[in-house]
Amino acid sequence: MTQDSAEPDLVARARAGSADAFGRLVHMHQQALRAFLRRLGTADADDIAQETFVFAWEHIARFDPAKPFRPWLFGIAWRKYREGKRSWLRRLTRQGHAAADIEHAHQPDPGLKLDLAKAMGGLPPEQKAALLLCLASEFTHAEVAEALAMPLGTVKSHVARGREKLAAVLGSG
Amino acid sequence: MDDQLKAQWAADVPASDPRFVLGVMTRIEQRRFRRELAVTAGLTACAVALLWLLAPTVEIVWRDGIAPYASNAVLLLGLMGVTVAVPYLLPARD
Repeated sequence: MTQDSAEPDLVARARAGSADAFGRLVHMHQQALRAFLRRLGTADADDIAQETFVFAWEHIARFDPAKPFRPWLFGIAWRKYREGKRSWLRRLTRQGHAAADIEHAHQPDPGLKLDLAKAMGGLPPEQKAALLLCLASEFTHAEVAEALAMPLGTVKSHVARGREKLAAVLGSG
Repeated sequence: MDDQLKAQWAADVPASDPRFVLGVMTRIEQRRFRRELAVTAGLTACAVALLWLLAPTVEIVWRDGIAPYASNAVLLLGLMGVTVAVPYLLPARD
């Protein structure tokens, strides 16, 4: 609650050039953003998260303070993730990390976690992102639409279809 | 199912990492430094190029216009310096 009320003030100070305020915004959002990118299934999630924050700092003047900060930030992360997927260099790096990820998957406590990872892996990226933002990051449909730059109806259908697919794979209705 | 998924994802959230924040701020500083370096290097290159282009003209102006009077100019500058400095060195008394 305190964080939520402090955010507009921090954003205003960051827009005025305060690196200290921006550092606090990074601290405030880093966990959620890193978790979102990791759940999307990218091996260089933390790297993309850092690039997202750097981009946000460099373009914070373009941010409309009347709007919530989180969808704007996650929107940048989503675009960076998509750019990264297209970059052959990142793809090579990711292949290098893939072996390590497979090893992690065989750690104890697989169960639902492994099933969920497999089920998420089968979803198209847009569907996966919409579902993650809606269920895991607790965004509203409107916030997801803004973050992913999609019409609201498309977001709702992505979430509904993604949910159905997950239910089918995880074997629960 | 939503609650099950939310619980699973909630357990996956990475810990708050001060090194991450530090990493972001370091990258920001590195970018700023590189940008400033590029601007300074660009301006320096422009200044050097301009000087190189103007060098013959400057040389002529110096040789024919300023050099013969250089000693007078130094004297003049000295006098101007003293004029400006005197009020500071000898402040007016009440």
